[in-house]
Formats: sequence, C-alpha cells, structure tokens
Amino acid sequence: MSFWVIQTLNGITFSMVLFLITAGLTLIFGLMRIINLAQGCFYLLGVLIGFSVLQSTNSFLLCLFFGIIATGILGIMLQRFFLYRFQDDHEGQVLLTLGFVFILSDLALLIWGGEPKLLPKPSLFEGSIEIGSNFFAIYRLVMILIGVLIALGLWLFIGRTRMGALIRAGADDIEMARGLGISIPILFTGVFGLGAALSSFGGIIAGPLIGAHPGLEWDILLLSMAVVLIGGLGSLKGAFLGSLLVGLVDNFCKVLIPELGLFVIFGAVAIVLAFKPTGLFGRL
Amino acid sequence: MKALVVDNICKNFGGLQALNRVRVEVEVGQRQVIIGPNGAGKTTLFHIVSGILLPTSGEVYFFEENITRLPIHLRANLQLSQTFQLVNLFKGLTVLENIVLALQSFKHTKFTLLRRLNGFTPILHQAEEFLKEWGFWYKRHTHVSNLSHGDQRLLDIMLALASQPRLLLMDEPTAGLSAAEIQTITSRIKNLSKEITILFIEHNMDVAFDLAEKVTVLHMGEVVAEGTPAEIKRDPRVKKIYLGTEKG
Amino acid sequence: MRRWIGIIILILLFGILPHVLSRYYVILLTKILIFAIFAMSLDLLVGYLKLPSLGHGAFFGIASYFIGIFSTRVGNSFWLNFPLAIAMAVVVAAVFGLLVLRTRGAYFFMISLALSQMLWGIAFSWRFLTRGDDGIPGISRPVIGFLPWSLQDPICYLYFVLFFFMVAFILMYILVQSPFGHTILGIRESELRMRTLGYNTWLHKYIWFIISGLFAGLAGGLSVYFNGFVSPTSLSVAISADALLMVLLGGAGTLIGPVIGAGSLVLLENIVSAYTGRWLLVLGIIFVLVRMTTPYGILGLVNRSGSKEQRRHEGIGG
Repeated sequence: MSFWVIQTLNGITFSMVLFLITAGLTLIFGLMRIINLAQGCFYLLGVLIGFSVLQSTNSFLLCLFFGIIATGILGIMLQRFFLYRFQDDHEGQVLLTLGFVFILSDLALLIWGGEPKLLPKPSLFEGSIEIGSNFFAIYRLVMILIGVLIALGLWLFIGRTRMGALIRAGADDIEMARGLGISIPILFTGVFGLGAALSSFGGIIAGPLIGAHPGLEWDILLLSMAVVLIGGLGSLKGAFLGSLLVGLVDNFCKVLIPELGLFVIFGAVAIVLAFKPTGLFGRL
Repeated sequence: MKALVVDNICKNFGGLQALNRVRVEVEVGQRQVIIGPNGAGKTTLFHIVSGILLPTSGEVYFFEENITRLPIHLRANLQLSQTFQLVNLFKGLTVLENIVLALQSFKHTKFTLLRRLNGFTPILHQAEEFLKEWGFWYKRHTHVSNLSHGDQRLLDIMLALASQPRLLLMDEPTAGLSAAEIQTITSRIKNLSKEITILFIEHNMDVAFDLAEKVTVLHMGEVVAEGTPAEIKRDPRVKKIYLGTEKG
Repeated sequence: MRRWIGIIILILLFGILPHVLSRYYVILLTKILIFAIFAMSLDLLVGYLKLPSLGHGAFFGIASYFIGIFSTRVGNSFWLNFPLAIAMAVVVAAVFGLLVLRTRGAYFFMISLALSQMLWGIAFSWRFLTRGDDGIPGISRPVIGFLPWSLQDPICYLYFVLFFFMVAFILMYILVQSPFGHTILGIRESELRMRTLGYNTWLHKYIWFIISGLFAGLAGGLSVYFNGFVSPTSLSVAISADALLMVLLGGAGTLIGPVIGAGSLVLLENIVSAYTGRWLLVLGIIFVLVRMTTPYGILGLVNRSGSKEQRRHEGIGG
C-alpha cells in the first residue's frame, strides 16, 4: 500500500517540475503564440549555472538566485534581439528557437562538459519520513510544496494583479492591447524572460533529483510538449493538470514497465488529440 | 420550392446570443439583401448557411435539402457559393491560377497526379472563356496581390460563379470600393442569370435597394422587418434602428 | 532550356567526378543525395502545404528499421525488403496523417514531433526487436542479380542512389506541376476558400502527406543500406531537425532548394567537423543567421527579390 503512496508522491514531485517548465511554455504561447523550443535549454542552463554557483558558494539559495536571474536575462536578450524582429511571423520565431537549442545546448556542453551532474540537496531538507514500510525524502515533499505554491502564485498573479491583467489582455487580443496603450515590446520581453526563469527554477529545484546531462534539453522539452498537448496550449489550468497526468504516468511507467514509458505517454497524447485536437483545455 | 430556408436558427457564443430564432426564406431566382447595423449577426448567419459555423439550434434547407450539419465542401458541391467580407483569394497565385482552381474543383481531374496542369486544355479553354467574358483575360498572369481592390472583389465573385451555383451568397460585395468600381460590380451582378439565386449582405443602402427585390432587416440577432425596398425605406422601425447612422 | 543544360551538366559531373575524386568524396556525395531525397519529401509538407514538421524522421526511420530488422533476421532479399520498407513508411504516414492533419501551425509542429518521438521511444526501449540504443549492425548491401557490379563498391552505390534520386526528383516535380499539386497550392494559400469552392481539403492534404512519407521512406531505405547500420537516431528529432534545416536553408517550396540545402549542410558538417567538435553550435549559428537575413533560404537569395511569386514553381502558362 505504502508503495503506491510513495510512487504517487514521486509522480507528483515530477509533475511539479514539469509544471514549472510548461507554465513558462504556456505563458509564452498564450501571449506570443510561439512555441519556445529552447525552454528545455533554459531548464538545463538553470541546473548547470546553479551547479557552478553551488561549487563556489555552497549556498543553495544563491544558486537559485543566480540561476534564475541569469537564465531570465538570457531569455530577455534572446527575445529582444532576435525573436522580436519576427513579431508577426510565428513560424519564423519557432524556428529561431530551434536554432537557439542547438547553440545553447552545444555551448552548455562546451562550458560544463558532458558528464551528468546532480546538485546536492540543501542540508536543511535532507532526510526522509516514514510512510508505511517505506521512506520518502523530505526534499521531495518540499518540491511538491514549492510547485503548489508557484501554481497558486501564478494563478493569483495572472488573475488578480494588474500585470497579470495586462498579460491576459495581450493574450486575448493583441491589437486591442496595443490600442489600450500597453507597451507590447516590454510585455513580450518580460513574459519570455519570466518563462525562461520559471523553467530554470524548475531545473534547479529538481537538480538534486534529475540534475543535468546532455540531451536533457530535448527529453524535458518533449515531456513538456506532451503536457501542453494534453492540457491544451495557452491554458495554465491545462498545464497543471497535464503535468499531473504526465508526471504520474511517467513515474509509474518507469517503475512498472520501463520499456514502454515514452510510448504510453505519447499514446495518451494521441488519444486525447483524437478526440480534442486542441487538448483538454486548449484555446487557439 | 424555395432556394433557401433558414428555420429558427439560434447561435450562441458562450454567453453571447448572436442569432435568435432567425427565419429567412429566399425564393428561387430572387435577389434578396440582408441589412442591419454592425453586430446584428449578418455574417454569422451567412457562416451558418455556408457551413463555416454550426448553429446552436434550428435548421437550414437548401432547395428542400437539409444542409444544417453538412460539411462546407459538400454544400459547395450542391452549388452553394459565397464571397467573403474580407476578400479571400489565393493571393500568391495569378488570376488564371485562381480561376483554374475554381473551375477544377468539380472535375475528377483535380486528383490527377502525374500529368502537368499545363496540358489540360479543356480546363484552360474554360478558364479562357470565363476570363474573357469578364474582361480579365489580359490580366490573367497578374498576381492577385497586384490587382486593384475593385478587381479583387470582381475576381472573388468570379471564383464563386465558376461552379455555376444555384445560390450565391455575397458578404458586402462593394465594401471599400470607389463609386466607379461599385458601378462596375453592380451592373455585373444585375446581369447575372436568373438561374442564380442571390442573397447578399450590404452596408451601402444605395446598392442594397438598387439590387434587391426583397429586404430582410436584422438587428441584434433577430429579424425585425422584411419587405420590398420601398416598404423598408418607409418602415419607421427600420429608421429608428438606423438613427444616428446614414440614411436608411 | 537553361534548366535542361544544368541537368546535363550535373549528369556529366556525376559521370566524371566520382572516378576522379577519392572514395571519401564519393561517400559524401552519396550521403548528400540520400538527404536530398529526404529533404525534398519534407519540402512537400513544409513548402507546399505550409505544415512545418519536426517528425519527418518517423517515416525515414521506420523504413530503415524495417530493412534492418528483416535483413538481419528474416532474409536479405532486396526486392522484398525495399518495397516493403517503403510500404511501411506509407502505412505509418497513413496512421499519423489521421491524427495530425486536423491541426495546423503550432499544434501540427508539436504533434508531429510527439508522434515521431513515440516511435523513437519504441525503437529505444523494445530491445528485443530493435536492440535499443545499440542499434542493428551488419546490414549488407543488396545483391541485385542483373547488375554487373557489386553495390559494395562506393561508386556503384552512388549511381544506385543517383538513380533513385532522379526518379524521386522527377516524380515530385511532376506531382507539384499536376492539377493535384495546384490544388495543394490553393490549400496552402487559403484552405477555407478551397473548402467553399467544393474541395475536400482534408483528403487532399492526407494524400499529399502520405506521398511525402513515401519518399521519406525511400530515403530511409537507401540510407540504411548505405550505412549498414540503423539506430534510434534514424527516428530521432535530430534527423527531423536536420531535414527541416536543409529545407529552410535551401529555400522551401521549390524542390531544388532542399537539394541545395542538403548539399550545403552535409558539406558544411564535414568541413566543420574536421576542425572542431562544435558542429551543432555552428549549425545553430548558421541557422539563426540564415533565418534572420533571408527567410527564403539560399534560393531566395539567388532569386534576389525572394517574393513568394518568384520563389515557387513555374505555375500555369508561365
């Protein structure tokens, strides 16, 4: 019995990480109508930068701080200097992000090397609690908590703040937003940076569990795509529920039928799409 | 038999009721216009007739056939054609290529994979005749994006006519045109065969009353008046709806 | 006329160069031709239907794997395996098409990626059938009875591939110029208008999609005999992205563009890899540069104006 509880919690842990990444994807798509293929790279860079910071300072907080800020700034620069030139050419922007993936992932390989890395757990959260006859890492519980808090935070931010209203306005009708005097360039750049930061945040938080390895930027991007395909592009609610689904399925597959993991997940995607091509909560 | 019967059509978008129990009948060969202020639901109604939208409730009958849920292309195959409010042409192609697409749609040759289109003389002959009739032959290699707005609207109508429709829907055929261009279009429309039933939307009242035999007035998703142009001009309800805008 | 002269020159080129240059370049040329077929097949989707796909590797890879599995376990009959492999690609395209063609743009992009990843996942995990990450080695080149030379010889295999390349190119050229191809252009320009004109646009897209998969499968089959080896890489995002880059680099919607793109990319990779291990970085930079400066690719540059009208094929009456 406790085995199932543990595995469910494990799945939810991963779901929270997925949510952080897909929330970024969702915000970026909702506002700019582009799929940021480099989202996986931001995740990876977050971990790697955090790794370096941790090596010199030994402070998990600092590594969080610098990781998020650095990645956020990178995202802002990429958007401002490259993507924004293609404002209305959505296809062009998506393809540009594909180019970014190659550049960023190879740079990461160059700077940090190809050996898999794991971040050490923050000492505050080491240890486990007993559930039935098994043990569950406290850090994972912390991850779940953080994920839920971020989800709530985003929900409040988008739904209740003025900034969130601006984002929603832009997502609904960009022309209208322009007409209302909202500065579109700043909004776009800001949201892209936010998306990048969220992804790297997820990477660092998951650093002690998943860490970083070459190819991770694709692995995690693909899972994120499964999430948004199921949950629906442009819907935070969909991203959250989709993350829960994919995280749980991924975890249980790894434990029960490791050969079929990806197949089951994308099979689920295919099924959802067969009935509802825009995902469960999607809105084009 | 009536060409078109729109029977108690309702259309809701979320909370917004765009059309409310709309009933419109168009006789065969008739020229009928739908007028009404912006947001009355005219284009929504057209989309339901052509199949771009599905109604929330109600039925649509085309020559006594129930087409309410029929896919767009099957309605077109029944010879129901339309032109669009915003000109919807194949902008990257030439006039000739546009016409060929329209003409080829009902021929099985459209599925031919292994012969060059240039060799299909029957279609090209048809296109030539058609273009010459409309005075577009000398422009046949012009790219649509290089045509004047008036020519584009004409081409739009030509594409819709290529299939020899029984019913032609035109959504604001003269929108954005100069007076001279409007003249050209209206005389072309007047010269169309009586075998084509025409239902159109217009904002330009002069054009509407000039071309139409019957006028249907739509306001806030409901039919508020119907009659001949003369009757509608005198109708106080219609005047009230248009108060504040141009002469009704 | 000019085009025919160019083709004759190319033929002479292929007739003389392979015997003059070293074996290394013969192999390079072969690789270029194989990828050219693959890129052209993708162009049918990307350039002519405006459906950007990151999952084209699925059809390429499935054909490769079919031959890989069958020739090592069942029998190495070319006349059986090769057509069946292509048929397999067609089947996969038929199935994927059902799921994928109800979407467009961003969704299509992701779904095509997702579906091909699904296949990749199977190739990676189903070790019993595919030997997973290790791949299947030892796939020998076909023995074609009536040919006086062995396909083991690199020059012979080059001509073998060249034959299929010419067939593919000519076929695709005819397809694009046909009434069906014209319909596809119409769908690309305005699908809604096509539907209101009476076209069952979904059906047309579906057939075109399957044809595109067929040619990708052809490339995959040629590739696996070329390498003698197949691994999940043949189904991966990497190979799909390579093809997409080739199409965009050379110029989408032109058929010749992807060929140029394939040649450029393969050559570049070979040159760059000789100097540095950072090929992906260079690739990414090239890609971003090209996209930023000339979205219509190399062919667009050559055509100067790069307007849509000139970028595409002859059209009618031209």
